[in-house]
Amino acid sequence: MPSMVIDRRRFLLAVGAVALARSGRADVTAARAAGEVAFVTAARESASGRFLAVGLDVAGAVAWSRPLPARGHGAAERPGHATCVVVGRRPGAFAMAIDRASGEVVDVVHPPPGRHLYGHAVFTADGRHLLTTENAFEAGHGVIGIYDAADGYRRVGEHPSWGVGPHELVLMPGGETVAVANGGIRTHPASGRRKLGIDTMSPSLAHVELDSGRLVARAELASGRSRRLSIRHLALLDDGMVAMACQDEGPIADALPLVAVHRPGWSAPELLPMPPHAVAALRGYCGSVAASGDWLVVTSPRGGVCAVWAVAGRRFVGLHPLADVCGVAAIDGRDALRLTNGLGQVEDLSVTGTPTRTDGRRDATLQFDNHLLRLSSGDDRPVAVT
Amino acid sequence: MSIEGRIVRVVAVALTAAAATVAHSAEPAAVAERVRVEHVLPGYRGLATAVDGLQGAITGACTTPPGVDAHAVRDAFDTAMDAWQSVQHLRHGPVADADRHARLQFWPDPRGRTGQHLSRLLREGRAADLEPAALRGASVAVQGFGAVEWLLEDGVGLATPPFSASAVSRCDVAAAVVRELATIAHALVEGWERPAEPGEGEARVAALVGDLATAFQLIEVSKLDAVAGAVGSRPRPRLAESWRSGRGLRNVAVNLRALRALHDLLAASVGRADPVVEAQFDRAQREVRSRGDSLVELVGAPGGQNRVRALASTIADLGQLAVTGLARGLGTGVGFNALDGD
Repeated sequence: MPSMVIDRRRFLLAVGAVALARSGRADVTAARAAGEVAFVTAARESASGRFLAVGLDVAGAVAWSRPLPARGHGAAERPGHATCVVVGRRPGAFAMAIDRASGEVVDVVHPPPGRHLYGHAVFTADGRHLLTTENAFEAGHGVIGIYDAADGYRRVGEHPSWGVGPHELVLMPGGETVAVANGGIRTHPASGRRKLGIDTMSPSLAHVELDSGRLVARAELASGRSRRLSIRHLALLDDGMVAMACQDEGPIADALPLVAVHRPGWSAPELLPMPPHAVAALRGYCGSVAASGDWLVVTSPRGGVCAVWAVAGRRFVGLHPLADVCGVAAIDGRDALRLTNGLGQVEDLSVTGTPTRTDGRRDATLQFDNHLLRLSSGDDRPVAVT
Repeated sequence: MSIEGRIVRVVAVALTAAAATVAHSAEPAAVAERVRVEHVLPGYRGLATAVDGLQGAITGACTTPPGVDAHAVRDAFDTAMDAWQSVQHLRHGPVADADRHARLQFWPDPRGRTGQHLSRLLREGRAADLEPAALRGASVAVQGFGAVEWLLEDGVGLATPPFSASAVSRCDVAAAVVRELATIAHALVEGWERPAEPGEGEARVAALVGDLATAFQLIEVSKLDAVAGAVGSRPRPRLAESWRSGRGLRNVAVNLRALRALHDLLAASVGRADPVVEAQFDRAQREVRSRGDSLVELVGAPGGQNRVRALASTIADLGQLAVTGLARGLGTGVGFNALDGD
């Protein structure tokens, strides 16, 4: 399998820079200029049905929008550059590298023949390489595609994702490994978006070393019924713990909690507590997950609710309703997270005490898609060391 | 893929097709207001009245000597359950606050939590556990219609004496649970008495269509398919809603009446009385009526599993037709994330 060697020393330097830069995070709200593009999301234009990438300013207003060739999904920020990448949705054939300030398209990323994108990507800490979850669809296994951002996003290699149906991936602290959610469900473009092999699904969280493509650790949910929980979306907590939000492919009369946390070294993820009515309210489906400090928010568009936890104490905080909610991202230095939904609403969810929503805004011309990416700002912008 | 996933996908494809031909023929605020006045408020008022009636019947049955007979309690329960099934599909607005929907009815309950938690409450509970704040903070399994049904229908009888002199009685628990039901029902009426704020119309209409879509899915997947069981395996009658009171199909019949009323109001607002949808409603309602009240009896009879699956399929078709037609007519962005996620 073609692979790529990334200079370990460069990684470590980059990590140090990120850690240093993040320390000033609490004060950055003031550092954001009004009108600065603070979030990126995929969307659909209500009237025309066109698919877009959209930049939102601090207040949630549209700063720019850019047509996409098809429906978009997740997005990634390139450290040390004014670029973000919006990834095409499964089975994705494109990712667009976009200037975060102007919305101009900088580059277009194409997966090679025999591969399609799964909708999520992340950059290496030095900002040099884009890492994407992909389907090697004839063999049916997952890969991590590697593209050189400094060379027009040329495909330079790939690693195994060590599972089937990889979806979201996050760069672990240290920058040497990525954690990949292998949803465990096989798909093939010839069958459209249909899920194949539910009966044999084997979801896992894989930690993959970027230098070598080696599997450093793999965590699986316990056997039996919980094997039908497809691990799909991830969020990194401040202390290096990975939160995972699942989708339930099992019988819905026998619903399971859908959210777990995992730390490298643990043999298995730990399901976060949820009262039965909250399990039912998620309707077997989590759309997105984000963390802010110790707070974790999971959205369920099917249930029209967000669920909130305080992770360190493993405490379920509560549910909050919002129709068709899916996008969620941290906000600079506040105990609140920003939400978006398919009705064009941008709302902030305060998570201390009973979750409550502050008055937001709505752009009725847009339907916001699954994911909202918070762009780092001024002082805490990751600095690439090359 | 789960059954739910399959249906979601079918509806999503239809909605994506519909999105391109959006027709804005009615002001969303006016549509939402009409639904509030003609559907939501009357539904919740009916629930409040019926729950008040149930409260009276339980008080009567628990008075010594009994002021009413057991049939009167069961009749009052059926009336209240019918009223709840007429508004069960509404999941947005005040019912979404403070877990009210789950506290009105905790279901599905595949692990039998209702019985476990109520048994423990009857063994160990004290009067203080039934105070409003305590009960509201307790597990939803001891609240709502599921708890009332268990207390009335588990075969022991409401008037059975308590475990000990200091323990709470079944009558105490039933009265407290129904008191909370009444509090919620009246709060819902109050919450909906206020018209929508300007600019809320579109979100409300989208929420109504979303509620409608969810309700059809709930009937198909949870109320019917889950009870029929997987192909080649045995039926699962205890997954049926209201299996203790033998009214699983009666619930579905009431649901369909309510869903049709909501659908027709929304459709009329955009001048779309679609004869195909109406015919499918007729067919589904006829099919449900012809099978009696008890889903447990139906699914246990020879050929019953397939009859239940056929009914589920009829309702899935109906839901797809009804929701797709409305989404096209109303131009709502309903389900962009909910119906086709990744």
